Amino acid sequence: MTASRGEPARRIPEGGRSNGRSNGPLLAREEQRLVEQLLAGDDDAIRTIYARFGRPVYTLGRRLLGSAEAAEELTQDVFLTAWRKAARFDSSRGRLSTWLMTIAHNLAVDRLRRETGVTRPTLVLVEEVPEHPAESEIEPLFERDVAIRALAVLSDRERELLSRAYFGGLTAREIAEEDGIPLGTVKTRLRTALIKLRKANADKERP
Amino acid sequence: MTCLEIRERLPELALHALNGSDEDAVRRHLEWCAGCRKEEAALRAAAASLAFVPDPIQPPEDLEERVVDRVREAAGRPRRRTRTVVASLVAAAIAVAALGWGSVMAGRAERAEELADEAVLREETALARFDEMLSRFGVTASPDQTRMGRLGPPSGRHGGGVALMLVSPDVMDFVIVVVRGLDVDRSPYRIFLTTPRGAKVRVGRIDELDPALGGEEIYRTFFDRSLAPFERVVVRDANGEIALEGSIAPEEQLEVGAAIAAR
Repeated sequence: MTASRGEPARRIPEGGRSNGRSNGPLLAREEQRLVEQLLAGDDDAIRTIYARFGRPVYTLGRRLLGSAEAAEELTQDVFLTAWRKAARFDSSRGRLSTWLMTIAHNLAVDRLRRETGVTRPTLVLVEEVPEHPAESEIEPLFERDVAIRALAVLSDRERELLSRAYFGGLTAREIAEEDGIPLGTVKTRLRTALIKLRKANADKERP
Repeated sequence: MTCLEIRERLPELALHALNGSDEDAVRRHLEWCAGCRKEEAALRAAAASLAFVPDPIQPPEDLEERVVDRVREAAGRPRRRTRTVVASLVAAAIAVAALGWGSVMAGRAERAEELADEAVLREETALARFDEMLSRFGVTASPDQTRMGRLGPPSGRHGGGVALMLVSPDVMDFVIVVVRGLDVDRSPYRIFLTTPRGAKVRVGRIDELDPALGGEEIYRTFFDRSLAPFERVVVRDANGEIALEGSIAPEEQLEVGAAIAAR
């Protein structure tokens, strides 16, 4: 009998609302419940989180690390780390998307720094947001739309600097050495760019 | 450090761009300072938003299962399916390779009828030998768990091959690909399994072909994941062009069975 695999679960987390928003961004309470279920190793919770964030995590891995194999390993590591840290997740302090993508970025950069001879990737500029996203893609596409709009307020130099730090895994000191400019200057520019981004993202409130 | 000094470092922390000793100092401060913690959270959210900017890339279809299995294992829950590495299958794969599929699959029969008869005979023999091999090692595979397909070259190219796949809930899925007659100058070759939706997984890579063996090479790869969605085998040359391809779709196994039954 050929092994069968069902579709990933998209059920509403226990205690969540069933008002048609179940495929959009989750409420804080829903995210907290979901991560608690993840901690318990619940299949549905793992699949629900994967359905929402598996592709962005994998994409980030491909962009930073360059290879499909490395991105696949990273994705598994990210979810495993998320499980390990699940007890510390507090939805009142931040969103699940921020928590998970921070784990993903940190793991990817750590790996990038460990590997020698890796070509530092650069930011791929956004082209278009797909017109007909799948249900499970609503939240990541919402996040992407907000991020793209926020980046538009930065200057080209600020975007380039953020790209080198975020997607290239460079520290401020490394950027300063590469460019031959004072470390303090790089720190100030990074700070300015990120604060601008934060302000531009300020309307990205939890629905 | 003062809060001012900490907040000057928070953007770098959010970008994971802070040096090690500074990061430790900042994190210690954040443990007790609510104001700086709030600022850090806002900057971290801004930085994390960058993760969604790149054009999305579809992960392999089977990645989800690997993620689920890994977390379940860490959480102390049994794997979704029993995964027993049957080391003897490696030996069996070698026995399969000894069937000499490569040499007969890349035939250059001039008459279509002769080719068809040869093909049916080879498939009949191959499947029978494969089933025998599996049962010898205690693996009972129903007909729809084993799949076989012949690989053919595109127009203008030569070579041939065969792929044999086991999809089973009880043992590790594996695939064996035998190729022959490929152009040695177009190495390395990469072997992929693909789904109807275009997702793919790499089976292996052939770096060199020995001309003395007629460019024959045998690949056997075990997968700790389900190969059920994969229905096509594609072999690409160093330029990325298709050298061989063939179907191992479940519904086409019926055609193989019917052809064998008709003999």
